[in-house]
Amino acid sequence: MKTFLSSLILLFMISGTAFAQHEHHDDKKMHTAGDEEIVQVLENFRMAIINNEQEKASELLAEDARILESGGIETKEEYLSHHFHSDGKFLSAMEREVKSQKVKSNENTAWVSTVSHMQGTFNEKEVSVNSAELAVLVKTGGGWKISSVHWSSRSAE
Amino acid sequence: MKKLTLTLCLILTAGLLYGQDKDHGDHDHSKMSNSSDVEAVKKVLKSYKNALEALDVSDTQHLFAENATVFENGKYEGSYQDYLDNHIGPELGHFEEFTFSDYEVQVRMEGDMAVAYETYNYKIVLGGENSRTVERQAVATSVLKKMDGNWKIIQNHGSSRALK
Repeated sequence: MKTFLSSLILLFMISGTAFAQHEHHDDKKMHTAGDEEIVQVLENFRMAIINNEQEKASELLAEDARILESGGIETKEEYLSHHFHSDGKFLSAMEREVKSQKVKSNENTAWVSTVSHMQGTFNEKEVSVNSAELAVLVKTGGGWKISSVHWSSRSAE
Repeated sequence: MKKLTLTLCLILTAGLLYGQDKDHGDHDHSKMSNSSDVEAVKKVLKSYKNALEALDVSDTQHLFAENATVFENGKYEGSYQDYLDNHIGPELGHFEEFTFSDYEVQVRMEGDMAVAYETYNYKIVLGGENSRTVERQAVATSVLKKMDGNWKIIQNHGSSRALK
């Protein structure tokens, strides 16, 4: 009887630890630090565009990523071989100020909406635009990856 | 012998508990989706598209979550209700026609979330003294969430460019 009771207590202790680990795991994912990780992926992607680091940008995008830009949609391959370069030239000429940024996430999906203002000189023209960005990220074995990003802008004048 | 049986029982039970935990952690939510969810998401988007084409968005709030937000061509429009009251609602009053063509939608499921990408061309015929026709190529990203069994748009971003 003593042995049975001891085993039962031990069983509850082990199962309790197993469940406690699971709860802790979920709590951690809801922590703000998780949001910072998501935002950092987007910032790394933006810097990869500016610095013309195609390989780095590719690593941050999911394989089936879609890039939507002012009425157009491209696959990852199409974007990296085409608009990636012109976007880099444009973004590197701009001063960017983030006006607002909201991060929402669940276990495996996050979506970030960002409103910013960009100002600078591009192709010898003064540019001042308001920009909206909606990015969707998915959690993979290799961390958060950008599943899609949609940019649009309008003149701030 | 009894001791051995209990110990085995203990190990098996503990193993099962850990196994459950691992299954949950590794679960691929995208594989949980089924075609009925994809169709339900498409139905929500189609209802909104139909309302725009009918120039009547008076019964579209139920397609959006209460705290849904809208981006359009570089602008944060606020909540869907703000967008209805201050932008699309009044704007539709000036349209004689609003039609979509070459409409395509792709839906990706992620557990109780869905992301949809719509591509289309649109034609707007403006009435009144300044009557004119506007034709553009457009894309929209919508993030949807299943709430109480119904898919609702929680974030929408639409943008357009001149037709090629």
